[in-house]
Amino acid sequence: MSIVLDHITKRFGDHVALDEVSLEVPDGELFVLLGGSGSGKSTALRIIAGLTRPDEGRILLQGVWVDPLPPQKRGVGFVFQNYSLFQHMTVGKNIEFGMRIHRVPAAERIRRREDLLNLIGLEGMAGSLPSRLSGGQQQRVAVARALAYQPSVLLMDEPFGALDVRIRSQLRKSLKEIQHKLKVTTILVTHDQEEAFELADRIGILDRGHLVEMGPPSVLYRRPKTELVARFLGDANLLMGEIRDGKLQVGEAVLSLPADAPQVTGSLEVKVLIRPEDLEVRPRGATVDGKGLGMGTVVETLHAGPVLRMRVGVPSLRGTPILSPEPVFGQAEPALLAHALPETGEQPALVPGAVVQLSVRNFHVIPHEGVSLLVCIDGSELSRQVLEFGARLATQMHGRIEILGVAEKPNEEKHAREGLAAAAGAYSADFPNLKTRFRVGAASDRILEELEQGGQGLVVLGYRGRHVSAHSMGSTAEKLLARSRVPLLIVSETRRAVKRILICMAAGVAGRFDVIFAGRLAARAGAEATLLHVMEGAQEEVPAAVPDSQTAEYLRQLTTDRLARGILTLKLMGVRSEMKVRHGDPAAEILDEARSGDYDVIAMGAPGRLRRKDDERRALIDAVLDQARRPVLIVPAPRRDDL
Amino acid sequence: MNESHSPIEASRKTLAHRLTIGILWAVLTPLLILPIVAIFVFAGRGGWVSFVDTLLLPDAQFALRLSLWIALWTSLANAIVGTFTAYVLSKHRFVGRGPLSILVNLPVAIPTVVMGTSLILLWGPIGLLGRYLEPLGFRPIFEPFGVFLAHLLVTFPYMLGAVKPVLDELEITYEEAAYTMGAGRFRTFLHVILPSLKGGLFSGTLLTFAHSLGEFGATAMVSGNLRMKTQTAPLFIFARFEAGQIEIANAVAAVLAVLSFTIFIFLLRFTARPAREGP
Repeated sequence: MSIVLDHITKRFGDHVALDEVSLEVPDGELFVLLGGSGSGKSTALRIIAGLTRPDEGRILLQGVWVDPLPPQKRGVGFVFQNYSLFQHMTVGKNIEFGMRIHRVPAAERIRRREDLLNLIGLEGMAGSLPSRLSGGQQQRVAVARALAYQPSVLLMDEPFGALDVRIRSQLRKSLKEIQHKLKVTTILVTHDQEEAFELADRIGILDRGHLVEMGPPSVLYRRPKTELVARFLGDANLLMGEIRDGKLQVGEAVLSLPADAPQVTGSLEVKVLIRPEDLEVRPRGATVDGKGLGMGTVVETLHAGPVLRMRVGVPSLRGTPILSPEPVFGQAEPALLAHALPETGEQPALVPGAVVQLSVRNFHVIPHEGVSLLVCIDGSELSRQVLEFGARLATQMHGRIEILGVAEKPNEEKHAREGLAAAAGAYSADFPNLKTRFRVGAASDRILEELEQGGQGLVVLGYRGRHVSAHSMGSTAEKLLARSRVPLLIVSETRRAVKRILICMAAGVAGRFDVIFAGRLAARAGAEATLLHVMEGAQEEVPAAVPDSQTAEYLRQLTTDRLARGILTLKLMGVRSEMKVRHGDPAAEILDEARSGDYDVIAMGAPGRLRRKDDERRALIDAVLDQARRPVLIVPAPRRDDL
Repeated sequence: MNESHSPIEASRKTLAHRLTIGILWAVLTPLLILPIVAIFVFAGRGGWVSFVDTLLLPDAQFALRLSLWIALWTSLANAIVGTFTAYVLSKHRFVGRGPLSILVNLPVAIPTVVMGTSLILLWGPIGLLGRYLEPLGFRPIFEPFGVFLAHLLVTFPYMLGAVKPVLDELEITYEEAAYTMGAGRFRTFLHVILPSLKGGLFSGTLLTFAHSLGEFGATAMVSGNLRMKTQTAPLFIFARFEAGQIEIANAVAAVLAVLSFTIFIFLLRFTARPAREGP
């Protein structure tokens, strides 16, 4: 093994950049650490090089534990994203720098320099200054410089990040060749999937400091062990299915299981990954060789060079939870993504509206752990009830809970700790592997830290009314909504179970994400939903082209249209739902409906931060929170780049 | 550079434009231009012969020589101490870094006379440190060494101001690249950081030299204005002017002005070069 990382942990203040990362890279391998920004990938590289000290864990390089060694003594080559070529030295001097330091004799130095320049295709450029070179040439010089003193391992931090897209693929090829020729063990860090797939012998996927999974690119892509990796790499159709009697049931279709699927007696709920290229789309009447999903309709097509991307409606999946792709609000049928070869004929058959036959060539089964609810408690009677409710809801949804005990002030610590210990004892039987944690400090900050570790789908919080907290909407809730995208279930009074959910589409633009999230929750909990729209007269923006006499009709149409699309979305998820329209003050009407319909949860979209109507929405949520006397679900809008 | 769209071009021929330029000349001529011209006019009043004679006066020569030596040593000392200070302030984080960063720039803000006074109170025969050093034979005040100390103090921020921004901008990865290639801190400084400081060091040294050459306030306090011993060129000029020997004063002043002017031209040409490069 050239490189071994043994339980490396690194914290920056409260932020955990790397959490017990262990990793082994054999001789000559090109290993790619793939992760988004803030995943800790650069930190890992710097720790290997000795530029950053880990808090815990050990590193072995070529059989030597290097932890006490400074970067100078570790024998690693490092290529920085900005290359960091010494601008006052010529290309040749740059390459020779490491060899001079290592006292390599002049003749040998020059020979190696010329060899390397040949290798990177910059013969005769030894005398040039780096500033005269193009970005791609500079990058290659940086690679040559890092290799010149023959380090035992090569570390590269986003080496293609600063380059033009067009020359990247060319440079990747040349890097792969060089690495192959010199057989130097390499770890490369990138956020670019394409780069990782093209270069890597193996890929490790880092997410918020956790090494989630590693393996050869094709295995990670075809047979990921986790939902996160399935979604992270490429496009994915991810749906819920059930293994029963050795067969997989997805919607109405029954598919025979691949050899690597879990063997179960009885039934097991699982996630099913179908890559878009594995969903075969054939014109009606053609013979189908895969496993049938029945008939479908092409909803939308996109010609993307060598592939034809499609969104295909699949009626046989009605009622099947689809985790990916995100449904388009108001779509009538469950839809999946499919890739096909572009058609060459005069009259293409795969056009929007075309009726097609669908079959699955390959699929992969991922174990299903269920949604995880993070319940925050502080030792009070209310938080005991909140936990009880959270646990009931988790059971109802076949999910898990994690309990976070928080003491906002040091003098509350003892009490809160006792509360957490009691809770852990009470629920460990219902939830094996129950995760509990205790933290001191502002609840919102501590919860955000937990969310950074990832995995929770919903935060459950107690709420004692506006008079207790300094700001409106519950200061903790407001801070959480401003900084995270995880929905909040705010509980002032609990309910026995979640059977009926009231989804409010009042006040401002109808949230699509809140309908979708509340729908998912309802689907998992087996609850029914009511879509409520409260009309408040001239609150909607009416286009100038609509004459006054028709304003009322226009608004009615708009509302009905929206509600109808919402109902379609819910139906798609298999949620029984109805719609209601009320007239008057939104807060009063919502509260009245909640009481008279005896709903268990009121769901609302969170206010954004910039829009004009958001203050109204905030005031509305405040009013509902204070008087609802039942849990309120607040769903923040997804971030733009999540869409 | 393409400036054909600029409003400057368009307004060139308008009356308002001419008026603006006229006002600028009218304001700057008595304020700036005439005083500079006056130095040379008065210096040459007695003709070339008396100008050269003045410069041959032993105490005039001594004053000029002392000024140049002091300026040279101040620049060299400041290049070392200033660079070291800039490096530590830029690359290290320590308790008191914030206040220290402000403190090292203070000499620019405090009147030089005040700085001179404080030096006397510190190093003088009855000063805080001076009273213990005097018996040991170390007595910087009223000595050229005291003048050197004063100049070091007064010009310190100039070197710092020229070097520290370059260091601040220099990304840490350049040093780290050298570290991973096996270079220690010293070699990294020598081969990677120092070459990138060339520009800053050069302009910082010139600035220090120019300021030292013209320093008056602090010098007047600590030197005691001793002829042929601690009298620098600016002190000489002032002394002769007070004594009514305006030609003599102006001859030395003209030499100082030419020197400063030359340094200034160098500085301008140097700093006008295209944007700073990496190391």
